[in-house]
Amino acid sequence: MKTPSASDHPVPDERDDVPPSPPRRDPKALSDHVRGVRLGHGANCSSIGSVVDTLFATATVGAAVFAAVVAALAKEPVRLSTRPPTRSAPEKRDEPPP
Amino acid sequence: MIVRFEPWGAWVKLESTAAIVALDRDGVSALGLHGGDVWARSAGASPPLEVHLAVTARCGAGCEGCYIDARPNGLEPSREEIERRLDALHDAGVFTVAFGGGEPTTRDDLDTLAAAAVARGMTPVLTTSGLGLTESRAEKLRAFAQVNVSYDGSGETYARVRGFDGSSSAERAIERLRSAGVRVGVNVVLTRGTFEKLGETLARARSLGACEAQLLRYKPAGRAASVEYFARRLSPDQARSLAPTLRALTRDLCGEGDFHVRIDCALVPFLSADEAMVRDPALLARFGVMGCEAAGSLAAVTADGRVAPCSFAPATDLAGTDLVRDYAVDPELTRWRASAQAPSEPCASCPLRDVCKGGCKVVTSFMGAGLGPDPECPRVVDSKEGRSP
Repeated sequence: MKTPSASDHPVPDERDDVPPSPPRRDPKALSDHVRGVRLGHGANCSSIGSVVDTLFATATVGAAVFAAVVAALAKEPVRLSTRPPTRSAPEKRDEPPP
Repeated sequence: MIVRFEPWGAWVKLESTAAIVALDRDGVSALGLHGGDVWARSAGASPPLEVHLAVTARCGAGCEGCYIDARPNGLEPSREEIERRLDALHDAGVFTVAFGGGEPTTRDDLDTLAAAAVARGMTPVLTTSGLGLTESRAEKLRAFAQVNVSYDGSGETYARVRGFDGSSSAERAIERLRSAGVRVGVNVVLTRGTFEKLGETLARARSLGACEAQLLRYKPAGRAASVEYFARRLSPDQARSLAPTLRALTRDLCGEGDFHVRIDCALVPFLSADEAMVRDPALLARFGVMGCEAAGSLAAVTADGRVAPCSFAPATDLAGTDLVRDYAVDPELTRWRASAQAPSEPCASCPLRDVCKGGCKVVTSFMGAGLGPDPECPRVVDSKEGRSP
């Protein structure tokens, strides 16, 4: 099994940028802080999908997929999303992601 | 990469590879970033990561189980209106916008709309029946990161789900999209009739050029919200055998890495019947498996512009263009999130709870159980029948 397939969708410059990120980060320092990886584009328009072949693959394959993602995380330049401030809500939702 | 701060850290969308990563606060700091206001204030609900945008309610296929009851004369918003909705999704920090309908390829401006999403920094994807998709139309879909074709099997297997055999049209669409250089996957609805043919269906899709199969639980919404649902849904034994079936499919079809299998949020509760999954729920979290994220990481915008918790759920009164302002405070969306965050027993003590979040609320509502535990989940069934889950 190979690593996740490449995306050819660069983000345009108009998205809010931050100052240039360090050219290279330590993948080992990052890998301990990855809580989850969602692979693929999820091209379904009715319900949210999750890749599951990695769950049933060997641990070696799973680790290789994970390592490829962390390597990308270590070298890609950073841009910030335009996520706005959140209005206060009656619920508390600060739990970790899935 | 695009970083979206969250109270617990950040979601990171990679650009060199198709993946979204959840990074904790220390990880974000290792990127040289700080969450600022988002980390400092009390957390409200985050905006969705993925939005399903119905660009039309028009469709002439007449599928028996259509979840929005689409019709040939359905509502079709203007391009300008959809672009305003895309503006709102961009402002909310949405990563992925999944175009659907109705049948989205009935529109002539899909390429323009896909380009509009890309221009706003979002990844556009598309779902289509593939019916009537010509070569030239397929070529106009190149701006989409992926196009999924509804394909429930060949011949009679397809007809059992939709009421007519459109499988050869779907197969032709897969080939045309592949020839046009479009990354193509298939959506396969799991019913009592399609489940037993799943291996055959996926192998066929792969041979035609599909790179991925998205398996979908049959849901009682739209025209499928009828007594027929009970005859079409997976049998209890089929639901329990989902994990072993996925294990076998993975072994047979995914070994070379050119084909992937996905399950939808509503199928996650069925994994609770599998000992290995229950023993290691961290594995599901590590690979980002998501159960019910309706009104959370997932939302839908209907053709008339209203926000729904998911595509199968009734729309709220919240306008899509007000997503940024009111997503966290809309009372109906809040109710859906609350039920997923704090499910009652037997979900509360389930090892998969944090991933599954109580199962499919659309199924639960249809069965008269409000937003409670999913009545088709094997663990819930065992609990009701007095067997220890």
